[in-house]
Amino acid sequence: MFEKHVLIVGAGVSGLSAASVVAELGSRVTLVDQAQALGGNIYRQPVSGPYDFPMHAEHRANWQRVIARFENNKKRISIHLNKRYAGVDHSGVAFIEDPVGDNSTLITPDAIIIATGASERVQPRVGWTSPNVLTAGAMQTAMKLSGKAPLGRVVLAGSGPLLLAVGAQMAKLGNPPVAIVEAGRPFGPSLHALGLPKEYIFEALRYMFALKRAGVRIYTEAEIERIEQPNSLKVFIRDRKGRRISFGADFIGLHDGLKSNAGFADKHANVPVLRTGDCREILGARAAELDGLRVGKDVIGILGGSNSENDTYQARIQKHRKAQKRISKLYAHESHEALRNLPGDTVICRCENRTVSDLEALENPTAKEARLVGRFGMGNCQGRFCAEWVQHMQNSTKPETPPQERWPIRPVSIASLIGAKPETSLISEPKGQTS
Amino acid sequence: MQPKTPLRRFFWIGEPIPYLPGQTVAAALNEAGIFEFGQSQTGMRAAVFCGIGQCQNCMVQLENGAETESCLLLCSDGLRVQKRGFDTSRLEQEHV
Repeated sequence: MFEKHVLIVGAGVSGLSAASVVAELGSRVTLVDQAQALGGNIYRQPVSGPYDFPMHAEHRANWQRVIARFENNKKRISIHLNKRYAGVDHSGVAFIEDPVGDNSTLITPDAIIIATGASERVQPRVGWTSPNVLTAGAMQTAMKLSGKAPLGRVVLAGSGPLLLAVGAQMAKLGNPPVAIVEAGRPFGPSLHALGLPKEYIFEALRYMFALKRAGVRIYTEAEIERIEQPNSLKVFIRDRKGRRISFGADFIGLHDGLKSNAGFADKHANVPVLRTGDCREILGARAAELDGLRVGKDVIGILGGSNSENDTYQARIQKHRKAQKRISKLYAHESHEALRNLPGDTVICRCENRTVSDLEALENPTAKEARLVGRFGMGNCQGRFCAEWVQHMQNSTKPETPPQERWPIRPVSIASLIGAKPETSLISEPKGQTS
Repeated sequence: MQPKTPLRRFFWIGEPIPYLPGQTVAAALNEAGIFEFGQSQTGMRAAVFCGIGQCQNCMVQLENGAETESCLLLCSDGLRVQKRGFDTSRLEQEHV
């Protein structure tokens, strides 16, 4: 009988769907997630019992389908929550860290599927490292976990449909944002919106309705000029026509779209490593399920098993790829001018506290020089949050080298490394056990 | 049913912080009005930024010296957490 062992990193829609199909085809799955519950970002589960998080009805139904299929296949799936994947080495050994307990583990799967979801893009701005300035996604995550909106006056700013979703969810939880500041012009007359599948339009209309009912002010073609923090936060907005307005705020949620999630340092692994869902390509939650099923089948095919009828997913995924392209066009705007005009003391790399002046002092560096001499992207997040901006600001004609991915892919303690046990301890652990 | 009033506590630099079962250290600290979790080695303020374990801006230190993201770290009864680079021996002396 064909039975392989596949490690799946990430228990969101794509990871769960991949796990289901790998198990259905007779192989074993070790599913690892750093959160405490299945669901990933879009279906993040509340911490203390069920309550009514205002989730879009279509997404709620999709989640029921994904989790039902997963539950049916659980006997071949070993679930490990609150554990952190730290990478795979050239010999195919994957390191799963248990940062609190002493259950760090080394496992040697036949293949790995990375399904860790998207990263949030957040462009540097004056004052963006002030206290209580975080990503809009972080606010949404906190709302999903607690069922409570962030307290006080909240301004959401940047660009992308997530700002509207977060604003609408805050409104439904009783504390609508003071303002939403969108750099693009998504509500202008545009044929791109007309071509969107109806489920995308319905979702957007629901959010818009909730925002309108709560009286939330939405400024389009407008950007944050700066954030000041004398005592509490103050945010200064400027629109395309040069009009200015400012708000006092208790929290500011920044968001400039989503991007795929690089930096897994697995180029030299001697086992197949596949990526699925938003961590490979931003296709959204709807496509993540299909893509998880597709990649789950693919990995079994690569390992020598049967992967028949896999083409059916591609056409359905393509529909969502086209929809995402339309959404990008709706929100398209010039953002690099703001980046070029940032004052010298603006922090670009948050991990290493490196500024615009630090980058300018390098005098037209290559990507490698910016990293090794300037320490841009050398911090804990390995450039996940700053590499894009550093590249734009270098204004360099020198050839780019791809970002250097380093093992381990996240900070791990030496004690965890030394104490890591081989895979048997992880495999024999009861299913669904959390530390 | 979970109790409505939080009864459990973990320790932030020796101070007891109440939490709800399933809450992360970052969420419980925020709820207690603590938004700054110390500094990184380069002087950057530690606080929640991405909220999902990707940016490492909210790293804190455990009793055993290990550092981890407070936005992922689950509260547990009696857990001891402090700022990065915090000298734990000083804390122990204070409590002797």
